[in-house]
Amino acid sequence: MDLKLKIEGVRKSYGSVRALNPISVDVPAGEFLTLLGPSGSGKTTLLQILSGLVVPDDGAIWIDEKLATHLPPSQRDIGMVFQNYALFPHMTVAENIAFPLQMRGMKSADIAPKVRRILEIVQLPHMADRFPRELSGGQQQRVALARCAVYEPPIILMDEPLGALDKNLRDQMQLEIIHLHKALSTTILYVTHDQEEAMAMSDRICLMKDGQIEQIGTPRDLYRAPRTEFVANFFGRSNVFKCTVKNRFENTVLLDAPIGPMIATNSSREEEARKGQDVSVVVRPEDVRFLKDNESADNEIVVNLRQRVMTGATTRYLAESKDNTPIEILSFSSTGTLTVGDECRVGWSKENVTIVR
Amino acid sequence: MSVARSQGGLVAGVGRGEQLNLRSFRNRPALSLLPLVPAWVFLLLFFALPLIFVTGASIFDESGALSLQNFVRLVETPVYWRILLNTLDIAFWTACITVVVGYPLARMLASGERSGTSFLMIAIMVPLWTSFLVRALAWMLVLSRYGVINSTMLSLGLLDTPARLVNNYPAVLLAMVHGMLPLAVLTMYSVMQNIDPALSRAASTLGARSGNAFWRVYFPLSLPGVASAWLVVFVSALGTFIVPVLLGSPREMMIAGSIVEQINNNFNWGFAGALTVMLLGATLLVYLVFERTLGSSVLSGGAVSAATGSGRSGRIQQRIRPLGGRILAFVGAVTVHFEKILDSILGQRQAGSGLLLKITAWLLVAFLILPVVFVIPVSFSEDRFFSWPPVGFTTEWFATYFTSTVWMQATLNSVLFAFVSAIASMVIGIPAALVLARRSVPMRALLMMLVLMPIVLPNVIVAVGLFYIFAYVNMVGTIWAIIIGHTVLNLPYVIITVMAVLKNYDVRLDHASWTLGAGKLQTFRLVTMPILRAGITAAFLFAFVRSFDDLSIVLFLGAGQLSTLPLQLWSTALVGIDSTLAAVSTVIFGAVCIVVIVAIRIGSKK
Repeated sequence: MDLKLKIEGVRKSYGSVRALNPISVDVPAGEFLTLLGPSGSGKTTLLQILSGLVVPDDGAIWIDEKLATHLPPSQRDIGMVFQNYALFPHMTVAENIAFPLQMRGMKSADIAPKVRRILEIVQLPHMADRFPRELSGGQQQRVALARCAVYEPPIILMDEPLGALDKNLRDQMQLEIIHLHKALSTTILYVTHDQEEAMAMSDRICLMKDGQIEQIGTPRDLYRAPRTEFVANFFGRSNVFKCTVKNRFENTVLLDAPIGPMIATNSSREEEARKGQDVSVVVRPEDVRFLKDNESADNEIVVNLRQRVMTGATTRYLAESKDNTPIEILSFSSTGTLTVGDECRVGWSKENVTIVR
Repeated sequence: MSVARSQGGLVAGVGRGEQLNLRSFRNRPALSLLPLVPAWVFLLLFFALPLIFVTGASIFDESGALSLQNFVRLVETPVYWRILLNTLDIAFWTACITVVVGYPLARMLASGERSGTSFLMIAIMVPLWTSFLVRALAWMLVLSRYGVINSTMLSLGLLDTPARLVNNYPAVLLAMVHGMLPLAVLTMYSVMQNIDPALSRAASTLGARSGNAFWRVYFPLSLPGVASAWLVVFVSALGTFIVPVLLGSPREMMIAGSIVEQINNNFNWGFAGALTVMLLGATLLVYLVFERTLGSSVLSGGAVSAATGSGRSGRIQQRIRPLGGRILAFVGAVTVHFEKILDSILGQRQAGSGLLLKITAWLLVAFLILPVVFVIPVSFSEDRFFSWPPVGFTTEWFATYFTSTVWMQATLNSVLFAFVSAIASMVIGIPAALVLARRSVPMRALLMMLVLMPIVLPNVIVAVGLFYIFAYVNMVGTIWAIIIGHTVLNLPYVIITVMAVLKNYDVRLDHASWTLGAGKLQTFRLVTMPILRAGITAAFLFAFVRSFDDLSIVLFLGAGQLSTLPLQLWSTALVGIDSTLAAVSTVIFGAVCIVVIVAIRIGSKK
């Protein structure tokens, strides 16, 4: 796949505040890449640098292998969907959508059918002559998408476009954006602070923190193989144990944790784990199993159940080990009839222990 | 200053990222401040410099030697002390009464019941935009010996001989309150508009009866508006001369009136300068007192909120908290007590206070509108002078107006001056407003003060000052002198109105337009301008009306060679209350009604 967008050592400071440490990312054509992170992590700054609204202090932006660092926004041929939609209040829906086509010098005879087609795609054909303020939030969102998609920009930037919508509408719009991404086969850079949204939509996720990239990879990578404690905690819930590397035999690492000895299996990261080093390990709650009397696991401990939270299909148990380390366990609600106060044996396999920084 | 704070609001409103964008687009900071220069130079030259000249001139005697002669004369003549005290006394009571009377009206306007408000708005906007002079003339009709009240009372047999209702203190106060009421209502309204109605509801869910909810929640929040309104009215009243001269006796003479007298009758410019300095001093003293006790935001807020609706201050609440809080708690408790009694009588909650507010507000609307309405039938009366009831029917007075070259020339001049000065203040003001609202400007506070001062000082001061410098360059009595004078008065309003409009403008619309492929100029033409159009039109109309309505500038800078409609009305009224005045007033009133109704229609469609 050819490279659509290349971000090379891009840096930005506002006064003494470093908004973006030097960052480099390559985006292949057709990818849906999400910039994810808490507020202040630099994701919006990066997006604005890409759109041309902000000029970076240093570094370079390549669009289609052409240098674009100092190109004004109007000449980059990228689309941007804004958080508050930024629909022009004095223009109708159709006029809003026609705007980018007019800016590209298209004849009005050619514009009309394009506007009609895109309105059908976003399912608002009867709204063409309404003004933005006469539409609901979800409808405005669709018009914003349509306005951006109508000129088929090779790259679309989206800045928390679903932030203002309620949960149900958000889920629905997520599907529509994915659909649009497939239909137009464009490259999308999507900013959000909602990890579920990122997981659901992205080909790859770029998790940012304090102006730096914490980890970049597929949603599965970030969930199953987090490289840092921050990543592990950002995606779903996790049990984090501080421990010391006791020994290593090829693929297997022996660890000393407050809850007792632990055994982990090899993943790329564990090459770095040296004997005697202090590390953290992550065990996902759904990987912790309740063990029947005749069952055993690579890692086993006895815990006391403190709390039980039934969330539907799954039930979350908060337990405590003998040395008072809290442990979270997630299991299907259909299994077991455990109650608070019970003492039970839980365990997890060595493949499910991830060593993180 | 509240303008500085509204700038803060702009920045906060568009979010951190956007603010930073603007910064990164400013490649050449010195060049980007260029649009400020015309406004800045204009105000320095035609506002700051004249003030310095007046102050300077007042410390020279007739021979041109440095002396305090003028001030000595001021201090030694008891009559000027009395005039100063009169001025302060009338301005003080006008402000107090206007604010109290206007409060329910503003409250009702802010309560936003759809059916009534747009009529209410018209009822307030029409008097606001109808010349102060026309309204003073209307009061002469109502109060004079053969006026509405006396004639009605006589015919009803309630009086045997006409009562003396005019040329006294109450008449001056009444007309002053009537004149200032719209301004005060709009100032208070602009603050009340921003009070979240949910707060009162929250108070009632917390167990507050409506009396307590009002006095302990709504009223304290509306206080900044009350303070601003009081200040605006007080300062405007300080500089008034129309009402005291037309409706008062020599005992109600105010400073501005005696300045006019010194110049028009005695041609004593040095002494007029001294009086002007006295008025300036009194005004600044009031601001100082306000600033010390309530914080500077009221100062600018007062002037600004009238035009823009942005004059809030948390400091007032802080100031009143220790003592005022307890007083309000007491008042609330008393009100609730009465409420309970009312409830037990009516057996129904809320009926009392809501109805009372409505009745009060409609009575006030009648008070605002009626005097001017009485003028209309009089303009068709066959009687040669203002009298009530009208006699017969004639269009003679209209014919006189439309066929008289003097009146027509005056009208044409008015329209011309208003149009040109409104355009000029837009051309100078809009670029300055764009820069002031969107960029960080060095010495912003100083610049904003220069912008605000012409609004917060009585017009007479500006007029006298300009006379001094135009006399030097021999420009008194020229069209340009008057247009420049009007532009000085209009420019601040244009700048502040446009800044307020920009404050509500979402910069992301510009960004969206850029990313969609529009260049900077295209974006300005196709996106920014159309969205701001309503606000800019309002600024233009406001400037036009202010200039059309002005008497002070023309009186001093016209030098008897140039006349405008207000000046012609004024000089005619000084001679006698000719019925032609009624015809002219009717024409002005009709024109204002049409403009206001059209403007509100357009506004409500938006």
